[in-house]
This record gives sequence, C-alpha cells and structure tokens, in this order.
Amino acid sequence: MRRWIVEFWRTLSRPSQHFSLGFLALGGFVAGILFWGGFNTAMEFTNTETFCIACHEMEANPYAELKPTIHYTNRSGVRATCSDCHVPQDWTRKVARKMEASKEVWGWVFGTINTPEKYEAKRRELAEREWARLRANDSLECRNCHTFEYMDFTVQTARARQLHATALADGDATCIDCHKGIAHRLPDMTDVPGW
Amino acid sequence: MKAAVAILLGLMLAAAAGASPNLSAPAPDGLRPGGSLADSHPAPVIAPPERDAHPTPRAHPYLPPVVPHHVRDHQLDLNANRCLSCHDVGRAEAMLAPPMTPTHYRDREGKETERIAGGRYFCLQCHVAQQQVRSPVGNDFFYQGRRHAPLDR
Repeated sequence: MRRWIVEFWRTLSRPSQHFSLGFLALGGFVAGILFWGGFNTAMEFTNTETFCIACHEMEANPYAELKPTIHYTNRSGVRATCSDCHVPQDWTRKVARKMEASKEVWGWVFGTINTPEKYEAKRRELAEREWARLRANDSLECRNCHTFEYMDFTVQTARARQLHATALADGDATCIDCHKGIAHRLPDMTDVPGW
Repeated sequence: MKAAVAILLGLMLAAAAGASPNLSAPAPDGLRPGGSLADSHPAPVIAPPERDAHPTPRAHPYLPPVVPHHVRDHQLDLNANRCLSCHDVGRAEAMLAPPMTPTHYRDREGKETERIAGGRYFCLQCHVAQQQVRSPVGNDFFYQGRRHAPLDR
C-alpha cells in the first residue's frame, strides 16, 4: 500500500513524458467542466418534482395532499414544488440535506411508508422532523420566497399584522411555529402548542 | 314473446313521447329561466371566497354566525381543528378572534366540558363561510316582526 502511494506520488510529481502541457491543461479544463456540470445537473435533477414523485409513496401521499393547497394552485399561478420547501438553496446546506436524504432511499427500499396506513402511522413523526428542521434554520425555505422585510402590513389582515409585527419581528417565533400543515395534511395535533 | 317485446317498445316510445314536453316545465325565474329545464345554460360564475370581510349581521338571534373569512386549507378532521386554534376561548383574545360561546363547552346532558363538546367539534356544519353572491330569489323571512337582513351587499 505504502509503496503504491509513493509510486503514485512520483508519477504525479514528474513532468509528463507523452502529453503536451497544452493538452493536459485544456483537457483538464474540459474534463472539469464536464464532471462539475454533470454533477450539478444530476443534483438539480434530484431537486425536480418529476424525481420526487417518481416513487409512489411521494406521489400518492404528500403530493396528492399538496395539490388542493395554495402552494400548488392559486390566483397568480406561482407555485412551490417539493424542493422549494424541503431542500435549502445554498450549496453547502443543499449537499448536507442531500446526504441526509440517503435515509429516505433506505425508507424507499424497505417500504417504510409504502401504504396509506403506514404513512398515516408515521405522519406525526415525519411532520415533527420537518417542524424541527424549519425551526432550527429559522424557516429558511419559507423565507426564500416570503421575505419579512418586504411584507406590506397594510394589506395583511388585522390578526396577521398583529402577530407578524410582534412575535415574528422580534424573532420570538418563526414561520413554522404558526404555519403548520400549509402544504400537507396535519398529523394528530394532540399536545402541539397552539392547537 | 314477440308480443311482449312489441308492447314494451310501444310503452317506451309512448313514455318518451309523453315525457318530452314536460321536460321544459316552468320554473321560478330567479333560479332558472322559465320553461328551460331541457336547455343547457352556462353555469354561474364561481364566486371567489371572501378573504377578511366584516362580520355579517345575523338574521335572527339563534342563527350560528357565518364565517367572514375564507376557510381554504383550514383542516378540520380528527387530527386537527384549525378553527379552534383561533376561536378556542383560551386563544381567541390573543388571535383577535371572537371566542366560542359557553354553549360549545356543554355536552348533550348539559354537563360542562373542559374542551369543546364533541357535538360541536365540526364547526362548518353550522357556521358557513361566506362568498360574494346575490340571492337568486327574494327573501321575505321575518323573525319577531323584523325583516331578514339581506346577506348580499
């Protein structure tokens, strides 16, 4: 093993005997574009709705529940898709979330939620995980579209204005604390504060 | 056998012939133009829900107040009751919402309940969300000598 590493290092540290510097530099450049572009394209593909609802668990349960809600169909036709709420946008956090998602592959392979009954039984657990995630990152995915600084309180209803101007403005509460179950059906809300 | 079929066919023809003029029976004009039952008419426009209207006055004291806001995506089932998260007496004040009356915390035997009484749980059975629509027919409902306040503005 040690000998192999030493050999490899020697090859790397010596100048190339057969290929020109231009070939290596340009080749490396082009290969870099291909690999990085390919990696990014693959990762973007796993962020699409087509990918998410390719599994029937996702299509029959959360996606079906999303359909009647305002985040799927509304006056202006602007809509959110799975990854808008469930995957962070910036690169580092996105890659971290993608690694966490390997657990979901496990769940798919072993069919943890492959029937409506299993999904219903796990609903509270799944919901709580998302609530905790969004509470920890101060509802980052909500704020990708709903920016507090640009909210016009004058067109909000009296109670929305009151709560947004106090609890949300002071940072005492974050979006998910009040806005639960906005895109999927709620689990049994026994002992959830505010319900 | 042949005779039976002939009679049956005859009866069906007679029924079809006899029924057709009645298909366009006169109707109350507000609901549907008179004598147009067999015609197709364009469906009325679906009114958008009211977002945050002022409370609609009750027509009579026992009328459950109507809901002056939209109830889209407001979950109301065994798992969760979104109405209670604002209108429960403990939360109503903070949420600037009218609280439920004490009658909602009393079961069928009149016993006080700690949480909302089971028979009152499904709010939308009595309280209806309002939409901006005109009544298709006039309303001459009187209660205790007072004319019913029209709901459409």
